[in-house]
Amino acid sequence: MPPPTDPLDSLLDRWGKSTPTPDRLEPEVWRRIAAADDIEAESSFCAHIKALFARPSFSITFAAACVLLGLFLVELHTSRLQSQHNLQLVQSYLRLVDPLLSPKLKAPVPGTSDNLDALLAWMKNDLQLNDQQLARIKDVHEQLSPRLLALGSQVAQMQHAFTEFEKERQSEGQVDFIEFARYVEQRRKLDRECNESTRKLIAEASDVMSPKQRQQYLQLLDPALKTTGSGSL
Amino acid sequence: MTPYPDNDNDNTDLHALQHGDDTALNRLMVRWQKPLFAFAWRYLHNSADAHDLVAEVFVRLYQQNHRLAPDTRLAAWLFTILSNLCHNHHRWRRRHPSISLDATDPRDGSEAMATNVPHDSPAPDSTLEHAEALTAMATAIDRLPHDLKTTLLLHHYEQLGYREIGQITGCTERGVETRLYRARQYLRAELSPFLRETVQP
Repeated sequence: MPPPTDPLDSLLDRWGKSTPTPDRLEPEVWRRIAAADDIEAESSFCAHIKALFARPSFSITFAAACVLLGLFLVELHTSRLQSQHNLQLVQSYLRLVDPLLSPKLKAPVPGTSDNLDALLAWMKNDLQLNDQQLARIKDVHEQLSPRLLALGSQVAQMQHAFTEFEKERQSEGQVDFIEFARYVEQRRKLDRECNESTRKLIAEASDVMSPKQRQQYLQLLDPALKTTGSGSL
Repeated sequence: MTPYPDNDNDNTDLHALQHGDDTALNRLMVRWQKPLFAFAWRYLHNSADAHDLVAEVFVRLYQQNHRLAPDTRLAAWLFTILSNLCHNHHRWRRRHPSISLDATDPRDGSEAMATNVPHDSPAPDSTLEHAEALTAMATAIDRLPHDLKTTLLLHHYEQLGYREIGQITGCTERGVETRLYRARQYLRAELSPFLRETVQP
């Protein structure tokens, strides 16, 4: 005779039969595994970075490298600003000493005392001129300045004349070639005089300087001449 | 009752999984999904939560398979993880109450919303008395402490031995026996009116 069924087991069995059928799990499980892998990959990179910075030697080196990089960038920026400023000063100086450049560039009137004093102050600082040298260079510039101004004025007149020739050519379709040939000859002569005057000024100013200062002085003028496209020196 | 899957196949698939054969996880899911889901559903009385936790068990199996010894009793490992997840989830749900769409709320004995929604699944029983008895059973099981509930569900529905239940719940075989006795005593007390009615001549 089988033992009587426990009514509790019977009720438990009946309740257990009400369990619903589960949905398919595989897609959900693989989706979660893929998502967890992504997060793990991301967090392992972060953990690697954290581990690196946890080492004092690395963090100190990194901080030092950041400081050095910052200083380098500041120095680079300052240097660039300084070189731009120097270039502007050199161009101003060239306008002062080369009449052929004056009409080509929008610049303050060359040869004014204010300009000359400011540029000589820059030269003194940049070339480390002593007071005696500075005084001599100032004399040279002041002696040659009237001549340079006159030449600059002639250059301006010649350019005006050239503009008139061009207008005539455009309006009448022809120019007076004899007149134009005379103009070209005068312009060549004026250019030569300008170059000679500028060379003379630079040479006399250079004579006052030491060889090192002279070399630096000529190096300063060289890039400015290239930038302005003068090439007249 | 749930048929108990074969441990040899489990170990074969676990070995394959540990050697990079991801399809072994699919085989384990096919084999273990139903008993795990049944356990979780009986514990939580909620299909969505049960589905979610069982999926989490397999995710952990995939992620932690290299830590398992080749002769691991996978049933014990899976039910240990699942029972802990169920316990945590049950505690969380008590602190964050919500309305279930597919189960009765055992705490207040109220009818579930799903009973008012047409669906294809059959009702627990065709008679009102049986429905009340099943609702009372769900309520009583839900009120059992975690250890007693886990022990009772694993023993009655999953047919696990005292030793395996002890591994899962972290106690001795004697402790399992005691818990099982206490769980049944509690259910008898809670369900006494229904137990008298269900006695068959």
